[in-house]
Amino acid sequence: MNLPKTLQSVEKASTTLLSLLPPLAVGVFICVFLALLSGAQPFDIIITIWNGAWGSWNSALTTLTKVTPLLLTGLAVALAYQANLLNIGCEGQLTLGALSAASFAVLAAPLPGLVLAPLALLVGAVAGGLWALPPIWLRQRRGVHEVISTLLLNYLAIYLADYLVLGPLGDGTAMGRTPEIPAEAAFSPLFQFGAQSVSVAPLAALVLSFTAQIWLSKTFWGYEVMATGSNIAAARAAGIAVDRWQRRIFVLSGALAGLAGAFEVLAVHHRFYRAFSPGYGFDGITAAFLVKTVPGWLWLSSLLLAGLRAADKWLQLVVGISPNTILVIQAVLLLAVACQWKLPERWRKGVAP
Amino acid sequence: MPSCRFLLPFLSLLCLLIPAGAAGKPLKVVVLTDAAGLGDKGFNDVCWQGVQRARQDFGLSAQFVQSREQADYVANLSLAAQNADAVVSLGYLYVDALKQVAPQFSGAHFIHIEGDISAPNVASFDFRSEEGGFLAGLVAGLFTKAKKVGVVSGMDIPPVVAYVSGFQAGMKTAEKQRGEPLETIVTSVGSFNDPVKGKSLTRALIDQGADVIFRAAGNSGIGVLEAVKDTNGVYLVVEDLDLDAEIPGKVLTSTLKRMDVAVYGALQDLVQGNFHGGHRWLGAADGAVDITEMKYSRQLFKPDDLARIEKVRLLLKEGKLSIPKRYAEVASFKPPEL
Repeated sequence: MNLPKTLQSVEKASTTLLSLLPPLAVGVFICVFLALLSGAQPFDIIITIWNGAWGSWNSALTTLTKVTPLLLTGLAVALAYQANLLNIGCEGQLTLGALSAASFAVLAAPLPGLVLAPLALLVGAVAGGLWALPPIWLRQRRGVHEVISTLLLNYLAIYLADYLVLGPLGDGTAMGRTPEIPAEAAFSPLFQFGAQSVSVAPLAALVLSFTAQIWLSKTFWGYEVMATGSNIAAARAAGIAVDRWQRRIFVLSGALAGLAGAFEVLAVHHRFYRAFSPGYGFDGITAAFLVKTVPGWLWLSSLLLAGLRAADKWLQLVVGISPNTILVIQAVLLLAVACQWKLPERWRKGVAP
Repeated sequence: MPSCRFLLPFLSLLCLLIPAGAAGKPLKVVVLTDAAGLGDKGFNDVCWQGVQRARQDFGLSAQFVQSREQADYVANLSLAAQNADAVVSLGYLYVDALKQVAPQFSGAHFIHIEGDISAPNVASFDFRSEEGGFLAGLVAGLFTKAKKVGVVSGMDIPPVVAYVSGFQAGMKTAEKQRGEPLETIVTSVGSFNDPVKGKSLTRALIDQGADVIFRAAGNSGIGVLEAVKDTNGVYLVVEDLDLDAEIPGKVLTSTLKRMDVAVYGALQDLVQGNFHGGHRWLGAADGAVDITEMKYSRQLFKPDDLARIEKVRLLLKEGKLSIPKRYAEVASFKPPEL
């Protein structure tokens, strides 16, 4: 048992959380200010957001449902960033993952549900991973920055999915959607309230994020990845196969985003339809950077963002302001975190090294 | 704040208790729209007008919720059903979600526009959009000097398909009347909420030589309106709502789909205690589908053509015409003698 090392990782985890608090406070302060400007009662808005995220079964289930894709796309972005890569392409990877999973489940319907669901998840992950291949190839062979290529591939993916779902993979109506997947393939509800339910998907995503954290911080391979992320030149000099790790991690990142789409299909929508992702791929970037791309803390940022997303209808019902206010709040929070506001030095003594 | 998440169960219990005391007296109505929301100068706005009138006449309280994503439809319907006496859901995209939610809230009343939902607590209404489209096609076809008109549709969902099919049948009627071939170019935005694409598609149609544009595109139609406004010699036919005064003289006519009347009527029934569920088709014969009086554009038409348009309006009101509502039925449509 390597005691000093364990202590170090615990300390690192707590500083991640503590370093989050000041920017969050600044973000909330700015939001309160914006609320005052728009003539709403700031306190009302905060209470309403809380109610909308957790105030009732309806809210809580909505929030929990939205955690899954955010956690997985967040993990996709965070993992890639640990290997010094920025994956902006989760939206496209998620879309194709969802379409592949849904189409596979429809086409392979004769298979028993116990096999069908895991296979559909796998197909979704593979589709997402494949979609991440061109950017990393372009990056390593042609020097095309992955931010550009992944961003542009999003549009390709979304319109490719549009084309497929309106044509060969569609259900024949003009709605632009696949047929419904067989009921055996769909996740059964873990908890149900009225017409709403939540499945085991958020838990699975949570386990994956913790697994990633342990893999990164406790294994030899994880160490090599982290070394790649913290200093590429040094890692290369130390004999770490940097390029190979970047390739693997990037494909894994795409696969996670694809898996997010597959989970959405199997656990929530039971089919793919056009304009499938309401921006989960991009919110994954926010989720990852809110917690400084530490996978172990992703649950926190995902819960926060999912709660904000779930609360948008309450803002309309109770306060009477546009649901897009939530987007402003998200952006302000992320900017505040990116600015890395810190507590004054003397308050931080004894907290962070 | 994140550090308070540990107190979650406790706090959420508190929050459940707080709003419970504030139950108001007036009948509460919640209106749900798709991502386009209010201010689309079309579908959603028309329905909202009906709610507004009912609010004034019956002293209701009314709120609207715009769903930002399709994943929220079930959640938002459930929420509305828990918090309101009547839930009004607007648009075909809500059909699947409402079928799931309505049976769960047998005490709540749902009013749905566009889509057939059979549940005892849902009053759903469909409109013979093809009749409005037919009148629009006739007006556009009789008017066009370029012998070429363009259509900008939102998504190819059944009500829009009905609109466009009716429009093509109307063009066919005008073609027969004029005795010369007319061309109709149909384009689709693929979304009810993309004004930018609506505008660029309209520009493309104008570049192709179309001088009349018919739109059936929800919020994307805002872009269509702008593109027509910016171009001389191009005219517009608008769907759902009277927008003749929006660009006087350039909007030839607006089709009227009186969804406001349907919503108002259902709310009135509810207030008077005789709400009845079920699905109804409403058309020109019910006074629910028509076009405007063409106040600003009359002088652009020959008196003969105006008389023909009047005649078709009358025929539709008397229920004497059967208009195709699917693309496949257009080819076999026999234009009436005018």
